[in-house]
Amino acid sequence: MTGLLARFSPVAHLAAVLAWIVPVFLSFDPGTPLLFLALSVAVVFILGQVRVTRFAGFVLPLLVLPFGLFVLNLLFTDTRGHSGSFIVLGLSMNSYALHRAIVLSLRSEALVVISVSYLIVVDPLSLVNGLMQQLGLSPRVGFSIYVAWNTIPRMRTDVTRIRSIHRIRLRGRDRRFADIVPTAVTLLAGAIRHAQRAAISMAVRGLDSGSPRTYLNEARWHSRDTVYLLANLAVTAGLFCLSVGEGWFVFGLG
Amino acid sequence: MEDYSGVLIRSEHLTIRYPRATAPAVENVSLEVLRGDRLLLLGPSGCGKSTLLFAMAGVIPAHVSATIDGSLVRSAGRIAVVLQNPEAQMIAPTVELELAFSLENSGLPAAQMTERIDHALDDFGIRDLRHRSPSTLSGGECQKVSLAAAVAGGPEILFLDEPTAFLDPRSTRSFFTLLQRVDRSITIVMVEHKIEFVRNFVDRYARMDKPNGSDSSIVETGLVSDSRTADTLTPHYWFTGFEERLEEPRSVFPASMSTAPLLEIDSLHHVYPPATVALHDVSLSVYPGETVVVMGPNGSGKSTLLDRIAALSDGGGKAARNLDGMRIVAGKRRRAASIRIRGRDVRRIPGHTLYSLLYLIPQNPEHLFLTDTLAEELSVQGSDGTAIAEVTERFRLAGLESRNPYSLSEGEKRRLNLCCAQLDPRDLLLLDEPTYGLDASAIASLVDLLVLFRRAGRTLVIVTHSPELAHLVADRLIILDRGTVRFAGPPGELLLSPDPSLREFLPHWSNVQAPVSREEGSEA
Repeated sequence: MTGLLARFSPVAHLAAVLAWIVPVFLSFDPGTPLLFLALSVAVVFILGQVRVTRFAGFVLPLLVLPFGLFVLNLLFTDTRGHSGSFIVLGLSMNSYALHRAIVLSLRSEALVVISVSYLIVVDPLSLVNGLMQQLGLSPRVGFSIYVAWNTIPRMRTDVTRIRSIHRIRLRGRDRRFADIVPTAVTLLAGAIRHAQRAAISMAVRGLDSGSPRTYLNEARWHSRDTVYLLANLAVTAGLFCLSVGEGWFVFGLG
Repeated sequence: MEDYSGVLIRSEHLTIRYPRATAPAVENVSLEVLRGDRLLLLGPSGCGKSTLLFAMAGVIPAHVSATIDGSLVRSAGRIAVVLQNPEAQMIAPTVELELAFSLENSGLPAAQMTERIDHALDDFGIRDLRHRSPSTLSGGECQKVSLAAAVAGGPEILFLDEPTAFLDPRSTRSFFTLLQRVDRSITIVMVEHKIEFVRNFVDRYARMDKPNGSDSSIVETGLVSDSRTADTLTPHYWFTGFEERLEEPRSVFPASMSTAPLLEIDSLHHVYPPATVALHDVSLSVYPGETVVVMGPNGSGKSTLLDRIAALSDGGGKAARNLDGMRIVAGKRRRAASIRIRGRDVRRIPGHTLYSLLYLIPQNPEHLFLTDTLAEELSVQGSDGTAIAEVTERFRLAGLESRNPYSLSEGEKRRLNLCCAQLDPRDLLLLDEPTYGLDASAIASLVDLLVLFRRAGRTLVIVTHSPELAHLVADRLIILDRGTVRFAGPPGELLLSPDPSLREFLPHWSNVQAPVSREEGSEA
């Protein structure tokens, strides 16, 4: 992890982030998502010491999702039984539709920001290592994730190459959508074979030997991880109580 | 010979059968592996060498389904296996963790692991790779890491399944040099086709075959030191008839040509970001009907050259990064590079026109596949049934028409690629590493087909690591090294070249390619 967060286990931070997500997911009001959005942004900048431009580079493209939800809910919400309306740019809008659009878009925006704020500070490979050592994730699953991770750059190159080679074979004809299936089949065939070989490689090197496994890079759970997790849970509970106390929190899933 | 003090593996009347297979992969094999042995399993493709190796290593039937009849007893506890494909056996996110993997699985304390890893990194000269991601390593580096990882685990027996099949000659030589450093106390059983490298390494061999069409079994065993084994352990054994192929008339270009070149490359440069020069001032002309073979070690720029000819790199936003012939070479401004086919710059020809002039057979034969059956693959170009029947017969694919292309053997996939190219003739045929991953007999078969293309007057540019293929099919040989042309001329001239550094590009029959010696290995 980056900045001061590097001192803590990525598993502890994952638990903290999951704790932030729960109240956001259960709320149907604008205040609660905003509180946890602010918390995640504060953690990512203060503890994670992430540059604003880098964070914005990840988050801004993803904001298309909350924006889409906003427009969809504003225009297509069932407003029967909700008569309040107002005029914007000469168009009559339903007040309930606007409220719903704001609430749902803020909720999705908070979920996007919280997720990005985790992904941007955590090294995925350290997370897998932490999950294997601290949460008992099966090494077979953990190392399979490593293999998949190593394969991603190769697959990306392969997609471009396969499509170019198909284009040459078809005398420059770019089949676009028609080429998706053959390209996917070729990639899948290669990936399956790669996975089979990797599975054999893992097996012959004793992954399933049954003896207790040790780790070169031990990722122990320290007392500071417990403190970090408890502090986060306390802050989460505090913010949730604040939201309820102020009358902001409204329970709702849809 | 070493002093053996026990039998580590004993098989008696061993028969191995894969599910749904009509015949056993291995039939009635009786073999002993002794402590300290260095045993080579050899034989033609498909004779069950790897199956026998995997059974002895315990991979079959534990991890690959097959039924085993007869007796197979292994008294060794710790085993290690190095597989054929270098990339497929990389599991961990860094080289250091790759070496640690089997040690972690055996429950070794971290401090001891570090000690063993340090030792292995030093022994195999790969300390500089310690923190690299395996995805950034070359094939040769991957295999060095695999060998180091296998040995770091302290195995009693090391199994090697064609570990150099995907390596160029330079990396193969380097791999065998490292193999010489493996402690003699470790028993080694290996499958390997590159006899010229392996014969100075192993003590014993077991030859497998399918005599008179019967099931595959061991037909001969012997000591390498026995003079009567000379025929078996000669590379020629796997490449019969090469003398006749060498007699094929070759064209002399460009002296005999009155026509203009089909392909002209002038002052080509290519730089990968941030500053890796892949091609440096490469100029080349290819004439109609000519077969040009491009050789060179990994990273010498061969495949980049093909990509540039086929306009698969450069262009658009990447052009600036490629610094194409304008800003490199000690700051001198150079004239812009050009690649012309039939006098037209490939960067300015529309795709449909350019790709009516050239055809590319990629390194991975599956990248060309578009359909679900071999018959459909051959129909993609709209060829008529008679032409398809004729080429499937000639390319020895008849009877496989209903098979899924992905289910074919590597040799068959290559032949299918060539079939498709034959059915859709274009002015220029580019082949990228057509022997990649093929054994010697499949290479010999491929050579015959390429000779047919040459006889038919097709223009070929072939990138390959195989000196045998190069010397049998090339009218002209180009050797690239670090992006520059080190040799250009007929293959026969290379045989006469006094430059010792070009020896690795000579075929095994030239008898001047010094194999790795025991002394070289132990000194290195």
